[in-house]
Amino acid sequence: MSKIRRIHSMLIKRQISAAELTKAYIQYSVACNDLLNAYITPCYETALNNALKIDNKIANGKELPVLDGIVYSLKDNICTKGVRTTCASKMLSDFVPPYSASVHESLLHSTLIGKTNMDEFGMGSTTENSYFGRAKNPFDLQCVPGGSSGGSAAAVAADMCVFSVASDTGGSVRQPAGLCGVVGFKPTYGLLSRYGLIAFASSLDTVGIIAQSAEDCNIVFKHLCKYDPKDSTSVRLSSDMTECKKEIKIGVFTGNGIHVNDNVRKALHIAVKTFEDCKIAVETIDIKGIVNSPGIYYIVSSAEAASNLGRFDGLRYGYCNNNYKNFDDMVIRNRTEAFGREVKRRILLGNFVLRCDSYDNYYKKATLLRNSLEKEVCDLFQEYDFILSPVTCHSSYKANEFENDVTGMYASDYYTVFANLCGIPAISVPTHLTEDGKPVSVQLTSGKFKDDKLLKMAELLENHLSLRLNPKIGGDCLGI
Amino acid sequence: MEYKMTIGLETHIELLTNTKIFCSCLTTYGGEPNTQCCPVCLGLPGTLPTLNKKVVEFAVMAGLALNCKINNYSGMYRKNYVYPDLPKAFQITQGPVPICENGYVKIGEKTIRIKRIHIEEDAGKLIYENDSILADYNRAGVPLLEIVTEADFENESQVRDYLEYIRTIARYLEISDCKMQEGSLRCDVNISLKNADCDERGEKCEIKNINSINNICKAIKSEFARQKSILESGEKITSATLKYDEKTNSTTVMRRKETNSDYRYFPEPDLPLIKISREEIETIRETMPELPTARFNRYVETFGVSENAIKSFATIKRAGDFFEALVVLTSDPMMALDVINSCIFRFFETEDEKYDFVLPVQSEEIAEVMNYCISGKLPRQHLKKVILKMLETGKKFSDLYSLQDFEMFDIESTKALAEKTLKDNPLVVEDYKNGKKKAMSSLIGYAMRESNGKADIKVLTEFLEDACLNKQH
Repeated sequence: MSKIRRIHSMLIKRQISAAELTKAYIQYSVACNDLLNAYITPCYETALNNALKIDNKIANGKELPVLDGIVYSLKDNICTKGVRTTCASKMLSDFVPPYSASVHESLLHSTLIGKTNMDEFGMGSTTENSYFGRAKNPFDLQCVPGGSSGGSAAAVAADMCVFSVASDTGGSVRQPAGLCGVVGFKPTYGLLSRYGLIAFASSLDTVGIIAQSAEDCNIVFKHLCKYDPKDSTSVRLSSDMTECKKEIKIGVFTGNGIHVNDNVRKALHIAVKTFEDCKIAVETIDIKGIVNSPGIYYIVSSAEAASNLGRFDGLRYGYCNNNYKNFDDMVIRNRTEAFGREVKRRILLGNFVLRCDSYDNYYKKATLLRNSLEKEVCDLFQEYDFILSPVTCHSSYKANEFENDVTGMYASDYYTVFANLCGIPAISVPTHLTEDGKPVSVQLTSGKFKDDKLLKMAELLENHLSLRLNPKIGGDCLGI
Repeated sequence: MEYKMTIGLETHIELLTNTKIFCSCLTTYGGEPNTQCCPVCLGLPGTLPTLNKKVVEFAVMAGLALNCKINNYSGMYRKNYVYPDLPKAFQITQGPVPICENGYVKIGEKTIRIKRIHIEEDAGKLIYENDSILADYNRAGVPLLEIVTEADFENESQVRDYLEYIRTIARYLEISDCKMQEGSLRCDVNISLKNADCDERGEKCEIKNINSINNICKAIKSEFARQKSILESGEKITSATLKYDEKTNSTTVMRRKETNSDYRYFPEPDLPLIKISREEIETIRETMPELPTARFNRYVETFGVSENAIKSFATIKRAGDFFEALVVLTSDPMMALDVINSCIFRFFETEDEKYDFVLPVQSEEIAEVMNYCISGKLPRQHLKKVILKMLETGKKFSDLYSLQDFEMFDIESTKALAEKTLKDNPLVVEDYKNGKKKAMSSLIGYAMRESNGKADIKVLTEFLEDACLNKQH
């Protein structure tokens, strides 16, 4: 099942060289990207250089770690030194960071093939909010790949890269993975360093991993999971944090059927049946606090985003229109001209909820509700080891579906935001294809720091289902 | 109608940590613009702050010295506003629960209550050149302590004493050098007037950007006059932010109202709560340098020196350290005192030089000379001259003199010298015999010049006086 292990085996057995591997992925990417617009900035030349270094290493008989030479992509909000990092925004369209994110530095021996398309600054669920044009779903070019990590999910689904490292603030890794038929994993908040991840909502942003299997997500996660002194919210994982009970019990949360269509119901059914076949106890549960969770999420994330994006004034870096009268005029011009509509919307909303006359009714109230949701979920995880739920409310939809229905789009995050609000790990796993050939997934979550157990449960599900999803565009670069 | 002032102060001090509050850039003053910056203090996208532990330690020290309660948990907050010297468009500061609160300072008979002390980062500096405004971010991220008092001050004299006290404490604890002209001590003054009869306080006005303690006192007097004249004409005071103009000695409303905005404060999500345990606080208390009052009392008790003699350097830590070093090396506190007051402090020209206390010679070298005096090898009368010369040239004793230069005349030579002096100055001798006591000084002066200072003044004077008396007979 694990593509990473298969490719690694081929490399050490010298069945394929790193250069050949990379060239194959480059050719595939060139063809797919024209159709999918998954990469904002392809990195083909540096990818080949990296591959040559790996081939040298192999030729010298040196030991090859499992991720060396594996082709991967990075969401374009993760800083790469010397390589443009745009957050899919006009504001940063020429921004070249002088430093790299910690997670990128951890992957220096893997082969970076491209920076992926996304919703601007992480705000959106369709990757339509990109200054560089929308990305497409490899299963249906008319449809969206989800967001905000749509480019990453599309690239992995089309096999333009073996895995992608992206970010998940309210579902941005799990939802696009779900719409593109691949696995999307969001670890416990604090386990993967945020240093170098351009901030959207600091208390919710989590570096996540998208791959074709939970097993591959696990391999990348283990490699990236380390304490980082540059990130004050970084947590050191110790063995006593990861312990689990022996008898597993899964709670199924369906939100009383609100917001789900038949395809999603079927996905849940498939998952439940799998667990029951494996003699794992499954019970229906309710999470009362989830009904408020989109509201809490949009208040908290917009407030933090408005603050995080305040720095973009064009003075030190970023877009600058040089026809200004004074500093205030410069700031207004630059931000008006270089931010997209959704970004502006969230900044206005965020600044509103932080105003001294609305703070108590919005931000403070949202924080209190968040705390009680966290407690409710934490209590549930005393009794249940995992919670099974939908990821999205429906399978992929056509572009512009939510053009005039912003709150409708916000409401579609119903099942994913609670994992970010509570800081718990969560993963989306595909279960089947709809009649019109679109993937549907389910979501598994667990208590904090039980990431390894969660990944193992996801592996159990995917091994049992043994799905092979073939997108219309790409899907099998090496033919393995 | 009599009006009384009520004044509250917000004082900022720049901390003397080696590196900035959230990154490892240097905090040194006066570097080339934008050479002490990094992605973190420039707020480049994706960067995160990490708190410098020394800042917390310094804050606790200040809190203990100012009799505050130290909070075991306190949080950082974001204060959001847009200005070119603020790279992230928010300042990381503290919120409702600061690291220290509810302290006090005694200024003579008056007690000034300290409302809170909190930690925050400084912004960069804007430089106005011709038509341009240039931004220098070297200062962005330098750690600050903000000390806020209640409106307990009644006049500018108390304000002066308080600021000098804060400066003394900060310098003693070596947490800040508090040099107003360099910006490491800044003070905003909040002043309102109240009717002497009733207790109701009027609207307060804030005066910012005053660059010296003298100007703060002048500004307060000037603002008092301004508010008084408004109230006397029957008008009300409108709350405003003002600046003090040195040239016209007046307070005027600032053009840009920086304090009008809603700062949209919320807890800083990138930094965990600052935790400090009771044990950690006690450790800091125990390892804190001795405070000026304690040192002052210890000197009086241990060395038996007079309060007046040590007043001049009781508030200067390095002077006290130097004094103690000399005492250890010479066991003569009185001589050490004299050396410091008459030589060392003459060498320094400004208050800041006294505080920096940078000497071109070591305490060992000064002590060497003192020990020569104590052992009789160097006459006491030459000590001051020698030490001043050493300070002037930066050379030690053996590079300037040899002990032979100071060999004194023996008794015979001194007697001969006295006789020669009397013989050469008959008129002066007459004056002395006729009752002009001051004439003796002339005779002594002549003798010292003749002998190149090698005569022992005491012995010489005795001979001269005896000789005059003898001749009288």
